[in-house]
Amino acid sequence: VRRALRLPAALAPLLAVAAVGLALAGRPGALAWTWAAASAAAVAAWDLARLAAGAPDDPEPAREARLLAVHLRALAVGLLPGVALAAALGGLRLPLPLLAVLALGLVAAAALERAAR
Amino acid sequence: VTGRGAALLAVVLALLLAALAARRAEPAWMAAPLLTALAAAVARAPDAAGLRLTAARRVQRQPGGEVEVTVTVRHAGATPLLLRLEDAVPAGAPLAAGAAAGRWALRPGEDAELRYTLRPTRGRLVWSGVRATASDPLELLAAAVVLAAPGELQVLPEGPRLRPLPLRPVRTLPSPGSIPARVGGSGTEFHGVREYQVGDALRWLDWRRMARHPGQAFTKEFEQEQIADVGVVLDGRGLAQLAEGGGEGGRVEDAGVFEHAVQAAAALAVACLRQGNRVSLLVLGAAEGRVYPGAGRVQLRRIQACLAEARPSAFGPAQAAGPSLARLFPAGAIVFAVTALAADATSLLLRLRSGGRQVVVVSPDLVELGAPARGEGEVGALALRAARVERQLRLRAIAQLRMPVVDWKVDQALDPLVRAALRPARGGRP
Repeated sequence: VRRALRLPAALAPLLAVAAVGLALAGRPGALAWTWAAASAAAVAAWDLARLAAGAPDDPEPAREARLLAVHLRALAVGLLPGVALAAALGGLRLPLPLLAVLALGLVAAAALERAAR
Repeated sequence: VTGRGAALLAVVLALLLAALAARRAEPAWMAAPLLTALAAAVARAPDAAGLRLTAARRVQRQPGGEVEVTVTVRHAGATPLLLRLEDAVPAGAPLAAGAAAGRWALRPGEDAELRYTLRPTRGRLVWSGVRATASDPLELLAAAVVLAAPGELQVLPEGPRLRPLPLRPVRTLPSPGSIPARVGGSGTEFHGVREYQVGDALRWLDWRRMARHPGQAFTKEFEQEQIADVGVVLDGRGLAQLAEGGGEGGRVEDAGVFEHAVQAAAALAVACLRQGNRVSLLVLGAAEGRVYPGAGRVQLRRIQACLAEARPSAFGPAQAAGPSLARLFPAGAIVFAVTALAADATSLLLRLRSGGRQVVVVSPDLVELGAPARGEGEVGALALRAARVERQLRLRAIAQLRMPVVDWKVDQALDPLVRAALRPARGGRP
């Protein structure tokens, strides 16, 4: 359990390095999923570093282990579908006009804002 | 939206805008995992109205004066929940162990238990509720509610334990106690011999004297032990800033000089009541507190409750005087004045001494208590020196009034100092 509690702090730099590596690999023309994976790794690194920083000084092992498990599962459930989406749809090329793209972006932002409320 | 959620949302929007501005797909693909994380958070976000949480609080005294607080929150909802609990610790009660906040991943029907220990000095500790924040597992969206979990506890000051005090008041009360009354009667210490009177117990006959004086009978007398009136005055005027303990203007450590004064007053009252005396109390501070003379456990609780609520104030003239003072401290009483020697201390002490009372001054030394912080730099050292001189002058003025003074450095034990001050001066009472 003690090792598990140290996991976020240990994982965070690894994921950060992976993010940089993936970003370097995802140069223009590269596969879309590498970009998505890079951002997912960066967000996971940031999130786990924050989680480790917020851990109590004298944790209750069972409670912290469960919290960690829930958090890691939520990270996987949240981020991996995005990477999978990029891998699945990355090859698509839709010749949309700029105005349509802008309108879609606005609709997405409004939907997010409304959902968050 | 939590701070974490807002940051993620900002990054998503920035990436999408960057994709639009550059007319390239890569930044948009980078936003994809973040968007799915946000979508997952929205799907699992708790609703404040739908939270089914109940809280209960248990407050327990521990040996050694500590107080253990346990807050139990039950999750009666149908879905798992990430819950953060934050309890407001009452002011003046430092945390000794545990934490007043924590996070739990709760399944339906499970309890979260927040447990911590406080080390209060005195006063009324009041809790109203506990703040519960439910969020999605990544803490991007949260809903906060305050759950009612009331609790209250009054911590009574006891002060350091003092041995029975050698009180020698001018006047004692006709009730059995522990103070030698200089009156013959039943007691333990030999007092004198007088002629036998009808009704005297035969076992107190002085057979030796009767052998020397045939035809006459003598009875041994013992010194009666009685109780006395004892008053305690706690002078908290001029200590309001010092009681804050640190910061601008607060020069003293931890609880401050006022807390030491309260503990000393409590210790004196407890010791005198344990000896069976009638004790009264006057508190001068933010609000004047009075407990009229009485004895026994109920009186002890009254005095402790009054001291528990005592608060210091800025300097102001003492109002208590005249007939009310006479009712509080009967003639011939011994009055312990616990004072840091405010500017008008001498006139207050003279008023206390009127009516044939004996006054014993117990003065916690606030100058030395604040010396380390005060004496920094040339000006600080000069100020410290001036404060010491001022205090010595006031102590000397009181000593010239023939009042015993306990110059109490608060890290010293109070018991021997008070006993030394109460020791009869050569040729009479203290």
